[in-house]
Amino acid sequence: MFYIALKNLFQEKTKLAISIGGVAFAVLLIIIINGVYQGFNEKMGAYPKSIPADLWVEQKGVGDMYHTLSFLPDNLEWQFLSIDGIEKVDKYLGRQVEIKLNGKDQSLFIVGIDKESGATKPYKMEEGNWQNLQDGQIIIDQVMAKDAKLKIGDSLDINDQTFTISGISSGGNIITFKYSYVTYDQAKNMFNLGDKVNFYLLKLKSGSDVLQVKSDIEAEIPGVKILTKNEFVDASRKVVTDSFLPIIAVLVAIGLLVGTAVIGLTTYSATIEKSREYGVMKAIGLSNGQLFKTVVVQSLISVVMGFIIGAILAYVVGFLSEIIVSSFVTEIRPIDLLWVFGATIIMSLVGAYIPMKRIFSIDPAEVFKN
Amino acid sequence: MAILEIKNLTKIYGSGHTQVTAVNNVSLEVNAGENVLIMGPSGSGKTTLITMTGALLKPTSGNIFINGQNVSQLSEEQLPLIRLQELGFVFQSFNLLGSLNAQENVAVPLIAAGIKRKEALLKAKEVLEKLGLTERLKNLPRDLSGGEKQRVSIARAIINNPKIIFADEPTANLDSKTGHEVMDLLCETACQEKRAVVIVSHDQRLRDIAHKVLWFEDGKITKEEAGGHLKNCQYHK
Repeated sequence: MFYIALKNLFQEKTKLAISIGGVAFAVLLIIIINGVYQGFNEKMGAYPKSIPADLWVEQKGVGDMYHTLSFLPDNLEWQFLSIDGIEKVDKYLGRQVEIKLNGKDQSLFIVGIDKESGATKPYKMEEGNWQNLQDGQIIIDQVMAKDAKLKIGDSLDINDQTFTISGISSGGNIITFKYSYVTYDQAKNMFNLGDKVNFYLLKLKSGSDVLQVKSDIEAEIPGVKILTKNEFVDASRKVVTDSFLPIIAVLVAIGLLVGTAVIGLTTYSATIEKSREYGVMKAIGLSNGQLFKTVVVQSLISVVMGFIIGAILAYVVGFLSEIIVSSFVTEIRPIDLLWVFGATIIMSLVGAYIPMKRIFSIDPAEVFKN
Repeated sequence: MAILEIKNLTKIYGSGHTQVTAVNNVSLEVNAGENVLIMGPSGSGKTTLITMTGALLKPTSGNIFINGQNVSQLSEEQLPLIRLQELGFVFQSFNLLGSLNAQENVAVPLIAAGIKRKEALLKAKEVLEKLGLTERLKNLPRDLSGGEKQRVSIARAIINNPKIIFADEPTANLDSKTGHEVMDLLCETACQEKRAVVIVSHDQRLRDIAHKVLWFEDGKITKEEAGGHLKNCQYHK
């Protein structure tokens, strides 16, 4: 029955184009929306993930480094080192700062780099060297540099202080802010931290029991919360998942509905147009099961072609969008393509359901009526 | 033995005041190699009779035996197989599948019966060549003349070697010459290949190829007479 389905499908080229186009558009929409979500989700966790720490120590009651400020005494270093299993302790200073850039509001997340340890160095340097960073200098993200047309040597005013751009980094473009880096001392002054730090970063000795070290710290040092690297990265990403996931889910559902409606309507109208032919096929002895296969194959071919075109378009649109709008981030993962493909298959089966009911109800005796 | 045997067949539509008896207690036998022509005015119940005997419509009462099997007692799921294996249909408006070429149209019943596509197309080609359509194998129905379409329709009806062919007004949409060609084919189908052919028509010319002519009126066979069938299908030559 495959070839009857194929012939039926390609006989009506305009209808086929509408059907494939509709599915492709739905697939494009779903993949891009999901890609943006995954892209920002990935970006959100990328910097904390790149920091070489096994454990993050924060003030009790703090969820992540973006939503709330964590303040810890900056003299806990030796206390940490006295606990069994801890090899190295670094201090992390970081805070969101609002600035005016070319007359527009811009949010920065400024991190203080301890040049000695380099634990909080930028995710990736594109221009300049973080090890040469001096007080009064700043490393900015390349997306911000491109958008604001800034380059090394230009000035940037932050909280009545003027900084000279000494480097351009990448990987720090998050939805609402861009990572920037100053020296550790500069950050401490800017944030008025005095004898406080925001987080401690702990590197464990190899073979140490992470859970044991966690409980030892909690027993020894009151008022702190310990997170493993993965827990901290997940907490950082939570800002995206909590805020955007419901919106993404609604948009993806709309995409699926659009695709299902398109495939359903085109298959249904094709079925209505060919209902006499289906009646003839029934009369000459084709079973409902064989006709079911014919319609499902037509629907499947349409959605598979729509999926392929939609997926290719999604890559092209994602690529072009990142060039045109530098803050646009998409991450199209194979697993996402797989579930979208699965969704399109379900789409085709749902879209074929009503036409199938119509075919089942066709009375083959009707073909004798002229 | 009769290939088609109808016993006390009745079909009633509706109920109460709207009840209509389309076919009323009809009995009939058709043997292999026999051409039976059913004639009658419009609304006499001819189409209802042919759709019931063609296993497309369940009778209200009575039995239909096709090759000895009582098809009126079969379920809806079993009937398509009977139609596929035992019956062939020729329609007034040809009813070819518009997206398939002549050869593919003829191959459909074979493919539905589980024959591989390549093999089915080869057999369809052979049958179409016998019917003089060698040059038209790859033509879509829209590119065929009325006579050619009806020949493709006949080829599709006989491709599975059915025992009975049902033809509904097979010459109605054809000119005189083409109508004769189709009559000739139907005649050959019955005579040479020992099939039963049941034709429903208003076309008086078809009397010439029929063994039996049944006059149908108000759901009943009101008259039966011998047709002008000529031996060895030479009636018009």
